[in-house]
Amino acid sequence: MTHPAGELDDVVHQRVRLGILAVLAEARRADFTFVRDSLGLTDGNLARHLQVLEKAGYIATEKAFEGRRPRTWVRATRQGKDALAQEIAALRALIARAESAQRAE
Amino acid sequence: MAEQAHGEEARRLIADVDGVRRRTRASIGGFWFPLILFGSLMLAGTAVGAAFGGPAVAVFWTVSGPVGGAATAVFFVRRGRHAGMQRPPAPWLAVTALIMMGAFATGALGGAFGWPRFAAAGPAFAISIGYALFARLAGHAPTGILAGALAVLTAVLLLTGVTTDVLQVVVGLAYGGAFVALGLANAAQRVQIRANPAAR
Repeated sequence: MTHPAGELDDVVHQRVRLGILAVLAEARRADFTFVRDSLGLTDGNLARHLQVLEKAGYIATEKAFEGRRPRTWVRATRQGKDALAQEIAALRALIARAESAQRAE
Repeated sequence: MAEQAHGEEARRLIADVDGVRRRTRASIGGFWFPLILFGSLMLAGTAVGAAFGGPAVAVFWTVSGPVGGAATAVFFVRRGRHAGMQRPPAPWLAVTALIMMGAFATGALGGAFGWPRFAAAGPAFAISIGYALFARLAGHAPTGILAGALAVLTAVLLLTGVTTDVLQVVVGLAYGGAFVALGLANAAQRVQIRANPAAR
């Protein structure tokens, strides 16, 4: 049996990127400012994490103008939603393993 | 030891994810709108029923239900665009359809089989279940608690010997009044938070 830690996805197994996917899991799409404020990040920090997630195919961005105001919308792709679900499953497996190890001691 | 550390870290990450999801669901707000709108419609529907009888109530809801649903959808689309977070519409539409179908089906079945008390209480149960689901989608616990309390009230009234007419009026006033009151309280709270963000 493989250790559940082996199931963790390096792209997603990171507090901020997990937070971004968690916000996007609740939304059809969210704008850059909303995600930034929800997670208490700076523009630069969020932009870097979004780049990593976009490169992995987990999110898609869309730039639009509303009136004269530019807006960047972000949404989770199917792959991104699956990656979040798999990460949560792997984390739950780790918790279960830790609990059974504790019981065995 | 390493297993314990992994477990603790995993627990923290899952708690973070749950917290972010909960806050995101609640952040868009605006749940006062459907509460006040549909609470008012329930009060109006009760008045229509008392004045013109059951068939008039069916006509009232056939028109006002979809119009109210469409108004709510437009409200949330505009609000979502303004807030910077648009929700997936499918679960909301599914719950709205569930409430409408449940209310009409229980009302029609009660009428067809000569069970007037079922026809009076069935739609109320459909609304309670629907609002409990809305509360879950919106992350709005007070609405979930209220929906549960109203379902219990409906069940108690159904089990006691009150007449169908009284049952209909009490249920209509209780649901309508409670939803309007909660909606107004929620709207007032939002205004307060907007005026003083530190009070959040």
